[in-house]
Amino acid sequence: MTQVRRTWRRIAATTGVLAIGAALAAPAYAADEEEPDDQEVGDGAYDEFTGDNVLTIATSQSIENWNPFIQIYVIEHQFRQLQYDTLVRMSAEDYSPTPGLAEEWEESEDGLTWTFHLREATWHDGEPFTAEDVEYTYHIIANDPDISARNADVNELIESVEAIDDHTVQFNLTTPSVNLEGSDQVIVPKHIWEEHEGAWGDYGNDDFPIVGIGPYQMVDFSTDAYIRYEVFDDYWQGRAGFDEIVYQYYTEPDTSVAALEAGEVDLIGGLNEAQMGRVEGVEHISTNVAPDRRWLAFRFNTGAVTRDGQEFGSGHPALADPQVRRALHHAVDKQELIDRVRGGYGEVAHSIVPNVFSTIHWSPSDAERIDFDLEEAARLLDEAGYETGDDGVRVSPDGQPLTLTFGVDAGNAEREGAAQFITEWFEEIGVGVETTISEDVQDLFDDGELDIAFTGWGINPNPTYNLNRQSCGQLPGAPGDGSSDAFYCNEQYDSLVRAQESETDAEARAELLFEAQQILYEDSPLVFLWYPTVMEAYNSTKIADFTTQPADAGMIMGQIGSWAYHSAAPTGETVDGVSTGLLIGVGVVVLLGAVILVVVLLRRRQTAEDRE
Amino acid sequence: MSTQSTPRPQSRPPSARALRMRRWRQSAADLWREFRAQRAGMVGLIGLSIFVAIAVITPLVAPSDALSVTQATGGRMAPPDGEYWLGTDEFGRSVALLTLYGTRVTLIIGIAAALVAMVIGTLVGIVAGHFEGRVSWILMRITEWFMNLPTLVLAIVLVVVLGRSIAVLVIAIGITSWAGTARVIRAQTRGIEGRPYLERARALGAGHWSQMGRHVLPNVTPLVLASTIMAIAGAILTESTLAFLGLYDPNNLSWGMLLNRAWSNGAMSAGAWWYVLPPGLMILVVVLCFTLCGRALEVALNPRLRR
Amino acid sequence: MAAEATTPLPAGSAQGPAGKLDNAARTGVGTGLGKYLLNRVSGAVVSLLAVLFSAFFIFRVLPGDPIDNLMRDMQSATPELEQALRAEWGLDEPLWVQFWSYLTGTLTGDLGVSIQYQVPVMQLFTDRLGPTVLLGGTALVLSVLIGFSLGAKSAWLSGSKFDKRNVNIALIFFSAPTFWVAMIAIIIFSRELRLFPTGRMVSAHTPDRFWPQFLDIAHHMVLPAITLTLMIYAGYLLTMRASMLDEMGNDYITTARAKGLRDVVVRRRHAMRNALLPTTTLVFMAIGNVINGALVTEMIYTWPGLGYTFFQAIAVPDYPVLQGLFVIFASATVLANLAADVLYWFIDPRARKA
Repeated sequence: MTQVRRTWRRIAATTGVLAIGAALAAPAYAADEEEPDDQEVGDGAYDEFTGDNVLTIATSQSIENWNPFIQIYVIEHQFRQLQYDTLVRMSAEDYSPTPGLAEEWEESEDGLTWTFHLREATWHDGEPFTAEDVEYTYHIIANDPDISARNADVNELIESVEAIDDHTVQFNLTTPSVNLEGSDQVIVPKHIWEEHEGAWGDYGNDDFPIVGIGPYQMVDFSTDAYIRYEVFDDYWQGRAGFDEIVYQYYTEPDTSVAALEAGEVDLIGGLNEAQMGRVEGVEHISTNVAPDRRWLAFRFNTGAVTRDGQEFGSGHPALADPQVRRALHHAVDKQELIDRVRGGYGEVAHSIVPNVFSTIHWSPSDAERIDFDLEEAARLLDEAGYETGDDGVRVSPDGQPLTLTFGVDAGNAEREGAAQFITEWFEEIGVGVETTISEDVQDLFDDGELDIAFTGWGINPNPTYNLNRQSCGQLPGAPGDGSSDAFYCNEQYDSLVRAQESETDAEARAELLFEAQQILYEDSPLVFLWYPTVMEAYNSTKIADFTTQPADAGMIMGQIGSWAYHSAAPTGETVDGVSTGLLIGVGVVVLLGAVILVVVLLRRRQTAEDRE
Repeated sequence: MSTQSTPRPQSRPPSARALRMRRWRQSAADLWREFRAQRAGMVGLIGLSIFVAIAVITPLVAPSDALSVTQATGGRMAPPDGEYWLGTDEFGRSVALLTLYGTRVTLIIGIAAALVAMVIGTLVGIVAGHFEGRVSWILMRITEWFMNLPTLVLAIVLVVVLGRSIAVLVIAIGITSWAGTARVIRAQTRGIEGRPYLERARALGAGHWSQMGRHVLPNVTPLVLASTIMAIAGAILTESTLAFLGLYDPNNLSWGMLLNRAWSNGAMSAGAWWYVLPPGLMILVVVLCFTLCGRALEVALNPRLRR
Repeated sequence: MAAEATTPLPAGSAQGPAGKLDNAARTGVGTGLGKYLLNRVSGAVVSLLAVLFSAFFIFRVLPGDPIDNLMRDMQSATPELEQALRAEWGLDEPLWVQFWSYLTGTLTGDLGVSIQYQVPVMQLFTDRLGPTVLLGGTALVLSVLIGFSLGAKSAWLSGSKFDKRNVNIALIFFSAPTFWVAMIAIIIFSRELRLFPTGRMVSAHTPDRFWPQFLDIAHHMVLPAITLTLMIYAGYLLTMRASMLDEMGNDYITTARAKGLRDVVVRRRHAMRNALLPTTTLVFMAIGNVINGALVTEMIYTWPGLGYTFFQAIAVPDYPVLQGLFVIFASATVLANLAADVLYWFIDPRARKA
C-alpha cells in the first residue's frame, strides 16, 4: 500500500501546488500592476511592461521582416505607418491627399515635374530629416535588384529624384500621373541605410530600436508573442498620447475577445457577429462599426485564355455567355447573405469601387439593378437555351449538363456559409453545383480548373489597380499566372479604364469610372456580394477617443496613415478586467477545493487499509 | 449464431469443409456466450445498435429541408426552446437534427477506415509472418516507418493533397493506422506457424497461399475482429479531429464538422453550449461503445483475461 | 481520448512488448548486447533515413504555391518580383537540386529559411521547442504518475468498486475527443468562471522577472496540461493494470503470498516492479500519441510550441518548416522506439536468449 499511497500523496501535492499556484499567479501580478508608477528607479524591466499608458492591440500576424522595402503583410503595413512616414498622406477625413513629410507640393504644367517642399523634422535618433533622405530612398528603390523588382511600376514612372536643397526635392516623371500623390512609399533615413549600400535588400533593418520618423519607434519584439513600440517625443505632429504601443499576438479571435474583456488587450479588430454581441454589453468596452474599403465577390471563369489566345483549364463554356452569368446574378440574394452569414454587418455591393469612396462609387438605379429573382433567373436560362433535364439539372443545347464547380477557401467560415446559400439558390433554378473546399482554391481558379470562386480585395482611393485586373491586358501571359480576376476581356471597358488614368479633372474622371463600373455590373464577370463593415472593439475606460478614417463613422485599425494611433489618448483610468478581488476569491475557492481533496484522499486511504 | 439449425448429413461422414464449418460455428457460439457474460460489452453493443438505428432512420424520418440553409427558420444560434430542443446553429437550423444527421457519415467513415486499416494490416502481418528473410524484413521496415510517422500530420497532409471527400478521409485514416495491427498479426502468425499441424501441412506440400489462407487466416480472424472494433473507435476519433481541423467533406455532415463550424462561427464567444455539447457527447458515447465492445471481445477471446 | 487512431487500447496482455519480443527473438543470430544493439540501431538508422527522404516529397505534393500565396497579399505583384522571390527560396531550381540541398542542409543542421517568418527554421524551432517540451513533459509526467499508480492499484483491487470506477473513468476520457475536452474546458474555466486564460503561454503585461513569469506561465499552462494529461493517462492506466494482472497470475506471487509476506510488500517488491518495466517501454512506444495530442492541444490553446507552428505553416504552405517539423516528430518517435527496444533488452531475459 505504501508505494501507491506515497505516489498518491505526491500526485495530490503536485495537483494542489499547480492549482494553488495557478490561482495565485494571476492576482500576484494583478497586484503588481496596481503599484504606483514611480517605481521606475531601480527596476526598469518591471516598468517596461506595466503602467496604464500602454496601448495593447491584438494582432493575428507576426512580423519577422523589418525591412520596409520588402515587407508583405498587413501588420507590416502597420509597422511602416507607426515607424515611418510618407511625403503625402491620405487624410483622415476623406482619403484626400494631405501633407505628410512634405508641407506642400506642386506639379509642372506638363505634369512631368513634381516639386515637394519638406518640413522640419527629426529622425528618432535626433538627426535632421532632409531632402537627401528622400533622394536616397528612391535611389534604393531604383538600384537594389530585389527591391527594384518589387517596384517595377514605380521605376517605370520615375525618371529621377533630385534634392534641390535641404528641404526641396524634385521628381521627374516619364508620363503625367496622379499615382505619385497617392504613393504610400515611406522615407527611410539615409544615414542608417547608406551603411548598407548595395545590399539594402538583404539588410534586415533589425538594429533595435529601429530609427524612423513616425509617431512611435519599434523597440522590441518576440516571435508570435508581441511587438513593442515606444512613443517618439519629438514627432513633428506632436507627441502621441500613449507611452507605448504593444501588438499582442492572438490567432483565434475568440481568444482576443476574452483578452479584451479581461483588460489584457485594449483594441481588437476583425470580430464576427457573435463576438460583437458578446462584448457589446460589457461596461468598459466600446464597439466601432464602420464601412470598410473592401468587397467580397464571387468570380466566374468566363473562359480561361492567355493573352495569346491559348485556351486552358476545364471551365464550363456556359459561363462565357453574359446572359447565363446575369441569370446566376439574379439568383443571389445579397441582403439575405449579409443578414444570415454576416449577421447584418455589411452593405450590399454592386460595384468594384466600395461606397466609402463616395465620389467615384457607382450604384445602379432601380431599373438597372439585378435583383434577387429566381423566376427571372430561370427565364433567362430558358431563353439562353438551357432546358431542364430529367434529373432537375439544366442541359446546354449541345447536351452538357449545367453543373458548375465552386471552390471555397479552406478555413474561411464566412465564405463557406455564403457558398452554402448560393449553392441552394443555384440548385433551385436547375444549376448543379459541386463544392470543393481546398487550400489552393485561388490557384485552381487561376489554372482555369474551377467555374466559381470567391475573391476579395481591399481597394485604394485610386482603384486603378483593381479595375485593371478586369482588363484584356491582364489576361495571363501563361496559364495559371493569375493576373486577371475572371479572365474577362471587353475593349470598351478597357478604353474607359485607360482614359480615367490620364484624366485630371475629377468630375470627368468620375464619369468614366461610373461607366466602367456599370459595364462590369451588367456583364457580371464578378458578382459583388457585400462591402463588409469592420467590427472593432476597444477599452473605452482606458482610451479616450480615436480619430477614425473617414472622419464620419470610419474605422480605427485598417487606416491608411497613423491617424488613429497618433490621436489615441489615455484617460488615465484603469480597468482591472477581471478584478483582483474576484481572482483572490477564486484562489480561496481552489484552495478549499484542494483541502477537501486531501481530506477525501486521507479518508480513502483509511478505508483502503481497512479493506486490506 | 445458433448451431442447431444445421442439417447434418446422416449417411456419410461429414466432409472436411463441413467439419470446419461446424467447428467454426461452435467457436462462434462459445465466443458469443463469453461476450454476453460481460455487462460492459453488452452495454456497448446495445448502444451501438441504437446508433446504427439513428444513422439509418434519421434521413428517412427527418424533414427533408433540415439541412437547408435557405429554408431554415430558427434564429441565429438561438438557445434551446420548445421548437428547437437543442437550439439552432449559425444559420438557424436545428442542432438536434444536425447532430442526428451527423451519425451516418461519422459511422460510415469510421467503419470503412477501420476496415481499410484491417485489410492492409492483416495482409502485411500474415505475409510478413509467413515469409522469412527479405520479404519479412522489407515489410517490417515499411510497417515500422508507418509507426514512426506522426500519424495525425500524415493524415492531414494526405487529406489536403487528395482533396476533401469521404473516400479520401477513409483512405487517409486507413493508411495511417494499419501498422499496429500488422505488427500484432505478424506476431500471432509466427506463433501459429510453429504449431505442429502447420508443419504437417507444409510437409504435405501445401503452397504458401494455401498455408496462409487456410490455416493462418482462420486462426488470426478472432484477433483481427477484436482489433477492428477497437480500430473503429480510433478511426472515429481521428475523423473527428481531422474534421475539427477543417478537413471534412463539405457535402457530408459529420460530428467533427459540426464542431468545426461551431468553433469557427464564434459559438465559444456566444456561449452557445448547445452547439458544442451534443456532437461531442455523441462522439464520446459512440467511441466508448466501440471500445467497450472491443474490450469485451478481447476478454472473450483470451481466457487468461477472464477473472 | 488517447490514441487518435493509432494505438490499439490494450485490454488484456500488453500487446506491444509481445510484438517486440518476437521482433527481438527473430533478429538474434548471435547473443549479447552488442549484436542486439547493432541490430536495433541499424534499424533505427534505416527508419531515420526513410523519414528524411519522405519528408521532402510528402510536402512537395501539398497543393498551393507558397510564392503565389505571398503574392496574393501584395498589390504591387509583378512577374519580376515573383521571379525574385522564387529564386530567394530556391524554388526555381529543378526538384532534384532542391532535394540535394535539402538533404545536405538537414544533415548539417541547416533546415532552410521559413517562407512565412523569413527566419532560419532552426532558430524558429529552438524558440518553439521549449514550450512543447514544457507542456508535453508536464503532461507526460503527470499521466505516468496518475496512470501507473491508479493502474497498479486497480489491478490489485481487481473487480472491486474502485477498480470498476477507475477503469470506467479512464475509458470515458479515452473516448472523448481531445479538442472537444479542450473546448469545454475553455468554455467552463476560461469564459464563464474566468479562472484561467483562454490560450497563449504568457501575457505581455507580466513583468519580465523570474517569479511573475514563472507564475504566469504556470497559470497559462493549467488547462492545456490537464487536457493533455487526461488524454494520455487512460492508456497508461489500462496498460499498467493489464501488466499487473499478468504478473499477479504468476506463481511467484502466489508463493510469496503463501509465505505469508504482507500484501503491500508483495505488491510493491514483486508485482509492481515487474509490471513497471514492460509498461515503461510502452510509454516510450506511445510517444507518437503524445505528439498527436500535443498538436491538437497546442492548436486550441494557441500554445506557442512546435505543434502550433505546424498548423500555422500548413496553410502557406511553408515547406521548410513543415519538412523540419516532420523530421523532428518522426525522429522523436524513432528514437523513443529505439530506447524502448534497448530498455526491453534489460527487462526481458527472453529477448536476450533466442
